[in-house]
Amino acid sequence: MKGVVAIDKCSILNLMYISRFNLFKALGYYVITTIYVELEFENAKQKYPDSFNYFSSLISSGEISKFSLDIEDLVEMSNIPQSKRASDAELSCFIVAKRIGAKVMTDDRKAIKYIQRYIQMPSSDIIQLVEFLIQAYLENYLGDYELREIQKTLKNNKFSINMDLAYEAAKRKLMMAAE
Amino acid sequence: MAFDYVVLGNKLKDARESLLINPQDSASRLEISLQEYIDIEAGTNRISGDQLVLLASLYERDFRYFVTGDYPSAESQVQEMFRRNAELSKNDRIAIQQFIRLCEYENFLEREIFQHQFVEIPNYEKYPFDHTYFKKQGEEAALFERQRLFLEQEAITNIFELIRNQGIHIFKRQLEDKNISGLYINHPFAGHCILINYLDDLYRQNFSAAHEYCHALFDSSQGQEVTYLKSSNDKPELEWRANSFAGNFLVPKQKLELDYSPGNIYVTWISLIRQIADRFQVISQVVIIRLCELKWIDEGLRKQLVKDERLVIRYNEKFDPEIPPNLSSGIREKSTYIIRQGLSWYFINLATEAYRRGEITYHKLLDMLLLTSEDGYQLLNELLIFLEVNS
Repeated sequence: MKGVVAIDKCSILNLMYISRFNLFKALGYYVITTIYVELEFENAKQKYPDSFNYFSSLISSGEISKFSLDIEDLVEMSNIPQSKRASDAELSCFIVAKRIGAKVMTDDRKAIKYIQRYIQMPSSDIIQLVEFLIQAYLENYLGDYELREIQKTLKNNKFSINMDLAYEAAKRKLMMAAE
Repeated sequence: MAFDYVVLGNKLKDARESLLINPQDSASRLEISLQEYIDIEAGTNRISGDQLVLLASLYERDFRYFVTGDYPSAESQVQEMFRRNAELSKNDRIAIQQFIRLCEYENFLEREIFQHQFVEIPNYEKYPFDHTYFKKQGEEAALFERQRLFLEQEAITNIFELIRNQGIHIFKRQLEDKNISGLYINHPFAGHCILINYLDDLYRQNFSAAHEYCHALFDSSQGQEVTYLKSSNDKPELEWRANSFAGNFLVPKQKLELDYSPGNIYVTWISLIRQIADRFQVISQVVIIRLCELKWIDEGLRKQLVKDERLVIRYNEKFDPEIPPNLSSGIREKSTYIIRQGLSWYFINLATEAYRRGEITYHKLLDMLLLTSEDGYQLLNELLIFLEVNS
């Protein structure tokens, strides 16, 4: 197993749009989330029932486990310097990940900077969707055609990747082979 | 130091009661028995972090308020407001709590992120007026404020912007109680906070904004107040003063005397009142009162005019200063919806700019704008705010 990863709502939604949540298991990750993320899905349940149902199915199938917060976690969240610059849901994932030595999945450049600066987690503990998909390609869980489709789907859902994902993945595969 | 569950229990109880939530509903939210919940409030049953997150969300409070001893909240002002205005509905109490959160966010963005410096507004409560007439105090303060702000006698085109420029947090929001025109809270940390009820006529909102501004200038020591359109307040003289201030501040007497002259026949009065109302962006009733104060209109004519439907200015003839004029119709429609929900265009710009500059995360931006992730992607894309990813 590659390890445990704490995930927030944005990342879950992106994986829902591309129907690739199963890649976590394939790549050897155990996925956890917090009550804050559950609450976000619950609060949007009426307007976006599909998202809520998707999240609920991930929980009931055990593909995501809820990691319970202690009062001490909340105290620690409130003590993080500049804690108001990140959302409570993000902070909860960061704190839990740091406490148990897990990784965090996020794609927001500003959140990544925040984690590095205020949570003091190494960049190797931050997983981004693009790298995650490339990793899946390198381990033969995704092909060129699928990567192109995924990039298109993400773009339709307002998540733009400013490079040709399939080209980048193929390039890395060739480089690895050359090594 | 050990965590004090008794203090936490008291805070939870106060927060629950302030929103008229019964303990059974709280227990149900946590999926525990009523007794277990009551024990949490008593501090004898230790609450988990997850449970506290659920309650903080239910009670519309920042979780930090519950877990830190010195969190700078407006809790005592809000509790006092709810105690004095016991008839406030549950939904309006929630709306007021959300408004407080927005003021705290705005304060954080303005002061901590953008380092805005504001000149403190005067406190006219301490001004040595040589009389005790409240209406006259309002009139005089309006004159002082016009001088202080270099407004001369010109019409105020955007009262909301003018108030914000004084470092006051002002938002509009649709409240359930149509009898409320606005409210004021003196937040110990975020400062002066004003909420205007969006249910009102757009021009009435301008008057309400000026009215609440007067409370900020005179009555900050009261901590809070709610203004009702039709109600006997326990301190009516403060409302008379605020109304007098608003009328004089928005429609200066000298300008009326300079630019207009009394009508000679009834129809010219109609045209005159509409002209003045349009120019100063106030409802016709305010103009009629101002003209009465100038003694241009007698009681008989006033009674006739207030009933005249030709003086009702239609919604589409009015301009909402809170919505920028250069927006596309799609964004305009969405922004009107957003403002009714309690946000302001100013606040949206402030928060999105903080994100653009890398000061807050994308998810924090969504939180501040009260958006779900799904709505956020769509709306922020239309505002040309994109999630920046490393690639």
